[in-house]
Amino acid sequence: MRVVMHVDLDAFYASVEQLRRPELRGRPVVVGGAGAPGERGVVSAASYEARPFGVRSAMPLSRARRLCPQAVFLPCDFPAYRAASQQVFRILDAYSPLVEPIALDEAYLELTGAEALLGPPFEVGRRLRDQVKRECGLDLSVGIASCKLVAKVASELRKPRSLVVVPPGEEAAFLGPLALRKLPGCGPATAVRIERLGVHTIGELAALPQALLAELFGQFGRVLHEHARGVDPTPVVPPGDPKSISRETTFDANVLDRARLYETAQALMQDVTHSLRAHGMAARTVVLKLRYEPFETESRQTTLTAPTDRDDELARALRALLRAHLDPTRPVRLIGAGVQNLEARAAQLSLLETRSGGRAALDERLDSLRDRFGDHAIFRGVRAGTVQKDFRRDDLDALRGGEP
Amino acid sequence: MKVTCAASTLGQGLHTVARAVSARTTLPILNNVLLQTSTQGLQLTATNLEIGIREVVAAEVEEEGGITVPARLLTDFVSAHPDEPLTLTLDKKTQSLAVHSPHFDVVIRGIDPADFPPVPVAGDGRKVSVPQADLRQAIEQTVVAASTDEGRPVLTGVYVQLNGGKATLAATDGHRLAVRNLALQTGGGDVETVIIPARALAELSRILKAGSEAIDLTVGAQRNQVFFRSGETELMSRLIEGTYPNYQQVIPSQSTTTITAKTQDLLFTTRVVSLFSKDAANVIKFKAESGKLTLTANTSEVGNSVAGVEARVEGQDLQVAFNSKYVLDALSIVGSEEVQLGFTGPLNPGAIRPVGRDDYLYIIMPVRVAM
Repeated sequence: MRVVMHVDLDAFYASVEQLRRPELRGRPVVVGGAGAPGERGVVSAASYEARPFGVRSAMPLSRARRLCPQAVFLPCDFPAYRAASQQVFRILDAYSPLVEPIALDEAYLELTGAEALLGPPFEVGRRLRDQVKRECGLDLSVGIASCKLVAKVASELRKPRSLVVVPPGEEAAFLGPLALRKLPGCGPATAVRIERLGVHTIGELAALPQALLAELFGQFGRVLHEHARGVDPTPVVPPGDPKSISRETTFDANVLDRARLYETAQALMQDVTHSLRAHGMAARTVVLKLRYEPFETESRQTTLTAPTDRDDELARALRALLRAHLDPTRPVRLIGAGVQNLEARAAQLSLLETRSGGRAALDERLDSLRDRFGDHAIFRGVRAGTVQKDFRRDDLDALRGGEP
Repeated sequence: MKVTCAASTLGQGLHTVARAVSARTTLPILNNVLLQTSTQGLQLTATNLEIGIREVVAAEVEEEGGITVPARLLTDFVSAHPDEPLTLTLDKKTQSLAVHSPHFDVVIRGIDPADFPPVPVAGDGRKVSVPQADLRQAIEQTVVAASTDEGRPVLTGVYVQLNGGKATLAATDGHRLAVRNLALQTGGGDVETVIIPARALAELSRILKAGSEAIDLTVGAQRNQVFFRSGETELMSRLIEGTYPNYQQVIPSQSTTTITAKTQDLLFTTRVVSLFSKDAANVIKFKAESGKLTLTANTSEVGNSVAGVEARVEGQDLQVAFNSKYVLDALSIVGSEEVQLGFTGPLNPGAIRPVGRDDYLYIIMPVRVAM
């Protein structure tokens, strides 16, 4: 039987701030943006003192200010958060050789077969939580179960400082009474579609016939059904050289607007290329994923002549895929961008085409800005103008095509 | 035609001109060498249409005339022959060449010399002369950087500039650049530039016999051919048309990190470390840190290698990666006891120079890797 632990640092950024500035302890702290009053950023983290006022992550800062004007608003300080995170991961590494970081404040640990060495899971969880508090001063929530999915639901159930162990065999019973949206992967759009069937809990979802979910959601429906029953065979994968990197996003409402799709795809690709460069790798294949309404998922890919890690080259390949494969008549609910066929980066720079070095240097400068100020600190301008020009050119081509 | 000459003399001449015979040709006569009597003896000519080589060997001419015969066969026969006089007689009716010696009588079928493509001779034109040893070294130091990619023909050539009493040779394949200056022995005048195929210069340096005499260089009056002459040997080449890139602008004017080392030490260490640079770009990393130079290479499925090099390291700490082949090429041809490497960053060109001389410069563009 597998034993998987999910750990999540509570209100991480805010806790780091409170830790290094004792005068902030016990006070509502909101971290986000650059810290300038009146700016339009969003909340990256809210301390537990701020949460009773309704302040949540990803909420516009202006709204947080209205809800909780007495809170201390601070800019993000990623170098500090990274340093604190590294300290925590050093402790995690002592508990398992298989640690999969998900974010600075979140990780999975494979504890299968470690009971003889470490003790019963509940004890291990408590020891780890206490050690992190003692040595790093940070609060940790822990979930332990027989798979990643249930461990994650468990750790999030009773934050902060929670420790929830789901005994083997009780996964379905544990998930059963929980609301649909507690199930990872079941976002608002998916939940709404399922609720139309009169289903409101994970248990009710598990009771639906798998064939029905497969009909509604395709392959994803089958996975959803297994998840609802607490079945998730995915392994804990320690970071190494990735085989592929991808990002995708589900729209709140289905999108037909071509410019918005291009824009979103390019923003996702920027995250991908940033991560690609952080791994020191270059990609040969670019992948575009589109999910159309009602639930039809398409994946299209193109292979480049030489591997690259450059923003502009990979974005160009993605745009070409969009131009070739995006069906403008069908509403899109999810869009994804990714790269495959990765290899260690080794790009011979050119003496004569001096721009190649300059473009690469630009990518690296953008990366260092994102590393300092967060992933959304800076974006390449999405050439809305170009997209519009394409429209016009299409029109022009149509006109010309109409002539003899 | 009837001539007599020593087998060794003829053999050497054939060896020289045979460099212009291409192994693969669709025109059968290009497999042949043209033999013609001349006032000085027997003139041998071969061409692959891009270059042509001509040499006159000492011979006693009894009867004038000419013929072409398969270069390979005649060369093999003469080379194998003991050094005795050979008499070559043309049978015009059958277009065949009879070779008579104290040991052998052979007849080689030939082709009428009228069918042989004309190989022009140097006429009027800009003429200069260069010390032979200097030119050989200059060629060796530049042709290695020329491109072999026919997609961009100008880069398969060596850019040669004549300017007053000086000549400059430059070659680049877009990843590295080699520039060599040398003084002319005679000749001068205004600036004139030509692009000579690197292959032609490589052949020239192979056929130049070690000697101290100067080499004449003549740019054809039509400016589409160039002629080199050394003693009785002449090589002509077509020129490459086109505009050579402005290589001056990629030469870094200064460096922030300077490394000085014994050329042989650095060459040896680079060669051994690069056994582990087996990926597509042959990556070898140079790391200058707190006054020390360290070379590293690794390939995930092969292994890795690290070595320190005794060197004087000045300026900022730096890590930069290169294709090890380009570095090895440079160190093998720089031709000085000590070598100086100048860098300004991991994405900027690095410069390799001989210490104590300022007539040579080799620029390499780095490979961008994860450090």
